[in-house]
Amino acid sequence: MDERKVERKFFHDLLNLASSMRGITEIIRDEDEKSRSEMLLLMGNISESMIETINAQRHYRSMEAKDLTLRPALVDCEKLLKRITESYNRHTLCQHKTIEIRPSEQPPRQAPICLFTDKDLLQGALGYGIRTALETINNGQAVTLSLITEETVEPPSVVFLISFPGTVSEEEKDTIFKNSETDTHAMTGLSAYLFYTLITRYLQGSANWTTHDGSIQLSARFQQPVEAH
Amino acid sequence: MDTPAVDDRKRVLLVDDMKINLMVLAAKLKKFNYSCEVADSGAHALEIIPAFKPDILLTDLWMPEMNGDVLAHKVRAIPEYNQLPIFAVTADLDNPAGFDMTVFSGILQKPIDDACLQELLSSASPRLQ
Repeated sequence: MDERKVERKFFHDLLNLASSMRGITEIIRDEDEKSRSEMLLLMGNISESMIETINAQRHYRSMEAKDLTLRPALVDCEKLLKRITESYNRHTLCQHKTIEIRPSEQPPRQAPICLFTDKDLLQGALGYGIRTALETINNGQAVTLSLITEETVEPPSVVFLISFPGTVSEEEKDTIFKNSETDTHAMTGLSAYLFYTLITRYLQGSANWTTHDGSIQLSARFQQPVEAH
Repeated sequence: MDTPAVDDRKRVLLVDDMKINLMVLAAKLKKFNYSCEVADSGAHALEIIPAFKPDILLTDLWMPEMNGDVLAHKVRAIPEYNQLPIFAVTADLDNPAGFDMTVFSGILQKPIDDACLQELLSSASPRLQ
């Protein structure tokens, strides 16, 4: 991994967001009431993006130092997915793009799908997958999230899927997920690396991607789903 | 009969995939009495150029569909815009490696300082005379 590039991207992203915030404070006084409301909303979104950028860096540093601590608890996967979707739809990366949840095609369940895991870390990992998708797609395109259970296999699993338009070249196949060099134009960035590493190294899951017919699908698979009662 | 008002302000085209950056920069340029149009991608910018006829182009470097330097090359390939002042706007603290910076007339560093912005626009203006 190229530490220098990770650091460069971190400072770039943070400075970009901070610059936007400062820019708004400079112009907001001269705007009309409607624009001010819009700008205040944007400032909130920028703040969230800043927090996410800083947290991504913290995760990365902690992972590299091998001192990331887990706090497992029962997590309702559908609620988590909904919360992530709402949060990322307000993300600065999501302007002119959309994130939607694909309704399940599986038979309705009586109990929610739950995992015993670290909620914040799982939310962070899935967020990095979504961020990877947002960095890959073009304006006007959408990221689709879905949640499925695999109960016919032992042990049963729960799978989060992140689908989006795009292609991955053969050259990228070997480096995807394993390279934290950041590039907003290909799936070889810090986000993809964090998605993969958090899931496989810390959350005891498996991460994969497939590409077919102009679309890419990232998956995060976890065994031991627990039904809440 | 009244003559239609002529807008003789310099026209600046802003290109950035982040809406907020476009809003902020457009507001500043309006304050400095420039006529301004915005594009959220390189492709969008190329669509706007024939009708808007920019005097200056300010573009972000890192954009998903088309990088700022690629856009600049495409614009310079249009004969009537091969001398257009094109400036990169970036938050990259380092020399922006990976981009062809030779295509740009200059770089505007984020956070954008009003004085620097005015100086840069003024420096581009003599070429427009």
